[in-house]
Amino acid sequence: MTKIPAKLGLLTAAMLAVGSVHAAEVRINGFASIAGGQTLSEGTTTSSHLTSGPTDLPGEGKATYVADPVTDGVYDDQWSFNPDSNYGIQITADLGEGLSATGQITGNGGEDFEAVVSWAYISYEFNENWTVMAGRQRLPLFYYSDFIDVGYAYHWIRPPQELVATDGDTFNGVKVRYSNYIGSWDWSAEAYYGNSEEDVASGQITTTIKSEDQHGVVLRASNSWLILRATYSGADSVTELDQLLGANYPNIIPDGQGSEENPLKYTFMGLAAQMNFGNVFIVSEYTHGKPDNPAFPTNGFSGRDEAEGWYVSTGIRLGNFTPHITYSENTVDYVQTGPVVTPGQLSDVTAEFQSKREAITAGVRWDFHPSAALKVEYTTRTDKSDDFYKGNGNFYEGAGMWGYGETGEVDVVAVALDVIF
Amino acid sequence: MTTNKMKKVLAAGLAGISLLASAAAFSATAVVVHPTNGNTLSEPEIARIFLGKSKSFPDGSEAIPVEQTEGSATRSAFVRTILKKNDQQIKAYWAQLLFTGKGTPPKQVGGGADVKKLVGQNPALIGYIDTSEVDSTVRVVLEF
Repeated sequence: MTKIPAKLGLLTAAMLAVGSVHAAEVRINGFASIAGGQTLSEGTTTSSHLTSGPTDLPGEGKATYVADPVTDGVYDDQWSFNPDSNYGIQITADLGEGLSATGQITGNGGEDFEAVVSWAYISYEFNENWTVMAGRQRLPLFYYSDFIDVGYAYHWIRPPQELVATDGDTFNGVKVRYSNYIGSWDWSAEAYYGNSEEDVASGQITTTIKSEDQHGVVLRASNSWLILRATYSGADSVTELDQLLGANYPNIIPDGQGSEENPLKYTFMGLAAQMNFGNVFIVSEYTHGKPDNPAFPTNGFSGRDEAEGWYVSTGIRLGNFTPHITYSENTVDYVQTGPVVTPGQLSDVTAEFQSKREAITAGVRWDFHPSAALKVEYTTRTDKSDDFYKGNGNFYEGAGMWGYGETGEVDVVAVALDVIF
Repeated sequence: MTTNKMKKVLAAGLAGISLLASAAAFSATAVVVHPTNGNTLSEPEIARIFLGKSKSFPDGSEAIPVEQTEGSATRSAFVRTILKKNDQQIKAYWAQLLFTGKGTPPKQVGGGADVKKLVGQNPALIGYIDTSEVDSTVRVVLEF
């Protein structure tokens, strides 16, 4: 995510432009989540910080839970208020005649609440059916992507982490939306094009991932009780390796895959449905991500091999209380045609293996105030990965560690207070 | 205080209570537009306007919904009956749209009297008030 000084210019320029127009109507809205949590399970993992050097392995490690892969929010066995906490402030200037300028600044606990520009766009409504948004926007990969920061808008503390992992959540570009209705059905189609650049910090390592020619479509249909969503997205991904990783593993980057000259083509698709039956709701989402060639450099990097993730969640609204339960599952199929990294050594092997994680989340949302909700949640996740995967270690993001064994196995408890204003 | 006075006060009080009770029991809500607005609107069409899905009346003219302020009983009744959501759900609905550039919730302009006054002045507006507040400055398109 781009840090604020780089993009503040764009935002202030937009706001100043707005300021010079008389009678622009300005709205300020915001949201915040204050959340705390920790893992409960004993360390089932044997792991070590990468920076301590692969030869130091194995050391004793603790199971961690990545609550926010994009901003590196990670729970461990010490209570922390960072991983799921965030805030956002949005300023919208309505310039009339369908034109508006919007800036949204957010900060996440995983990044020390540092302010970043998540949205900065000009929107123009040609008519009731056509809208164009140009500028910085959320990448609409998942059902919850657009409003993932706004905890008040959904029942969990965080949407299931078992969906296909992605490196970025924001792009700079243009999005066109057409919406209409037929009988009791509303439907819309969105198409977008742009690019993004994301610094992925994993512990001591920072890698810059650029997505170029990022494009996609989102189709959505809804009636009084059902919402359906389908999406496809594609991008050319270019990874600039961190100095440290490059120095530690000089031999593992095969033939410049993921370089500017030979970008990794990555495709993503997702399907989602939400159903409401009176007070009962069910929401489910399936996601699939695939590179058109195996990526560098090893197992464990988020979704760089063929990955599937899905969940089904149900809850019931009992007055101000909404108890809910969710099952979620993630599998990544690795076809390692190049060298496989085992910390401490490199070996040229060809292997096919799978990592698989299953999680159950149970929680309650309490709407104790018109603008605030209190949530309590418990997640238990089991690791059903192939022994090869468990035995050879994997790098797990956010923790900056190599792990062995059932690295996905963890229990985590969290409490959150969500407000909007 | 004389017994007579007390009786009068008591009677007035009782009358007030019974009025309140009947108001609560038979309270109904009217969706209103400007008297010159001749559109016929179905319940789903009204819902579409108040959910930001439609921005015009059936005759093609601009439609701007105005809401009563949160916490008003009339508002809750409207949200529940016409929009088929509870107060939290409508708030979450607008949070999803607002923070993603897909829509802006209708303005909350105050109580029934404020809504009636504004609607009576502007043919583009549509609002809802208690049926007891209806007079010739507005036209009722739906009662529930």
